Order: sequence, then structure tokens, then C-alpha cells
Amino acid sequence: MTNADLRNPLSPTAGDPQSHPAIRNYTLFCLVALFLLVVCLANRGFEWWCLLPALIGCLTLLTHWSYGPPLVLLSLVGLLGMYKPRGSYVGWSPHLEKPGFMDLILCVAVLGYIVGHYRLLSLMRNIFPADPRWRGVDPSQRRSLDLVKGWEVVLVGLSLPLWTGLAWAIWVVKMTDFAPFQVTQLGIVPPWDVLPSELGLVWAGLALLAAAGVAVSYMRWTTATPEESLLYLQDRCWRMTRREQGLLNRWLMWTRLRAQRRKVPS
Amino acid sequence: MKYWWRELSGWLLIGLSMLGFVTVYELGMGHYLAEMWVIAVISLVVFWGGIQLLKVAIAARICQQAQDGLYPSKKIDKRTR
Repeated sequence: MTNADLRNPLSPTAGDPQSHPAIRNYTLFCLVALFLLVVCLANRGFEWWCLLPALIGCLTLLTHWSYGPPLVLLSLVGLLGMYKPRGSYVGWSPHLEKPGFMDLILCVAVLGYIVGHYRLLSLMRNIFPADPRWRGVDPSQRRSLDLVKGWEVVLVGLSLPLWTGLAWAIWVVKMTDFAPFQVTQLGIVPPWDVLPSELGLVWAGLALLAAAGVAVSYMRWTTATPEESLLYLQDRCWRMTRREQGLLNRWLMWTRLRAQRRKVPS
Repeated sequence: MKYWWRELSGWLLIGLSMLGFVTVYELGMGHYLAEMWVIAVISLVVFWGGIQLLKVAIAARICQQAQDGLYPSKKIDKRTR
């Protein structure tokens, strides 16, 4: 909602934002993604359980709860963890399965729901995480509804297969060459054989992120004003000497109260 | 100048922790799972220490520079004396 909308009550976005086409489009987008999710899970053989992630998603969609996507992901991981295909051999592992068409649709559905839900939150609540000191919703932190064009949702929908395809390509290159080799050469693939390579990749990614974070933070620290730097130093000083200052102030208060008691004639 | 040394020490600690991260990666790829966690924890602590040292050194340097800009005469007097 822009400042002009706040000033002008007759503006189409000044009233209930729920009725704005952008909100409707993104809500519909998320619902379609959740429907696809149910179809994919039903195809995998889950019975009523296939409704669980979609129900969680719908509930968080209605309440605009920011924990919706993680909860849907968790429930999905839980469900898929229970799944094991019929006739699978002893050493079967999800790592070894080449993703099929329905797996790709499942990825598109989950990605679509997550993207749609967060975009909806940016329109209804706030773009960036809210300041914990600030209770309630600040309208100035929302994305303006007028900035959402009609083709935006279409563009998001078209970009989903692209990202899924990229992930599929990486998966195929990384895992399908590696897994059959181990299966044919070693028979059963113990999890501790697959784990280190994945763990190493995750660790390398985290280390790169940390290095990039240091570089960006260094730029921020060096461009800080003297007032900001002084505030930081003062804050550090208070944190480091918190106990000592507490002790000193307790003694000071004790002497002050003692002096007051002496002044008052009993 | 003293703040520059602290900043340099901060960078040194960060560099050491990065070396530790590389070691952890190599240990992980070599299936030394039990050993890698020890190095990982040590590296993380060193990394955190380096960041803190760097932050404090930069903030102190900026404050010192601002103070020198506000009161340049004191420095000149000291030098001329």
C-alpha cells in the first residue's frame, strides 16, 4: 500500500487488501500448487495421508502464517521418509532413485507453493522479517499492491520448471553416476558411504557463505558512521562488564538507601 | 596504528578458521567423520573470535579517526612540543 493510498481512502487498494486481484492471484497460485502436491502424493500411494501437507498449507495460507512453508516441507519430508517402493531391495535408498516425471511435478508444486506463499506474505504483512520489538503489522513494510502486474504470476509459474530442471540436472549428474557404481561394485550402499560427499558439499557451501558474509560485513563496518561505531563499542563494553556493573550499582544503591535511612529520624 | 594491528589479527584469525574449514572438508571427504567435528567446532570458535576482534577494531579505528578530526590541534601541539 503506497502513501498515496493511505491518504486517499477511495483508492482501490486503500480498503480491504484481500479483494485486490494480486492477492487473489497469488492465493489461487498457492492453492493450485497444493492441489498438484496432493495429486503427486496420491500417485505415490499415500492414501488419506496425502492431504496432510496440503491441509497444513491451506491453513497457513488462510492465516498468513510465515511458518507455513517450513511446516509443509517438514510434513512432506516426514511422509516421504515413511515411503518405500514395493519390491525395493535391502540397500534401497532414495539417493539411488532417478527422479521421474511425477517427482519433478512434486518439486514444481512445492517450489510454487513456497514462492507464492512468501510473495503473498510480502503483500499482506511485510517484505522483510518484522522487527521483534514492533508488535503488529506495519503497513509501510508491505509491498505495494499496485506494483504487482498481471504477468508477474505467469512469469513465476513459468520460472518454476526452469529451477526444477536445473536441480534435476545437478541431481542426475551427481547421483546417478555415483549410485549405480556403488550398487554394482559394492552391493549395498551404506549411508555412511554416501554421507561424507554430501556433508562435504554442505560444509563447503556454508564456508563459502561465511566468507561472503565476512566480506559484506566488512564493507558495512568500514562505512559505519562514528556514532554507530561508538554505539557498538559502548554496547560491547556494557555486555562485557555487565556483571561488574550490576555489582557496583547494587553496592551504590545499598549505600544510598542506607544514607537515606540514617537521615530519616526513627 | 594500534587498531590496524588488531584488525590484522582479526583477519589472521578468520584466515586460520578458513584453513580449518578446508581441513574439515578434506576430513569429511576422507570419511574421517569423528575427527572432522572437533576441527569444525574449533574453527567455528576461532572464526567467531576473529569476527568480534575485527568488528571492535574497525569501530575503534573509526571513533579514533573521528576524534582526531575533531581535535587536530592536540596532535599538532604534541608533535611541536
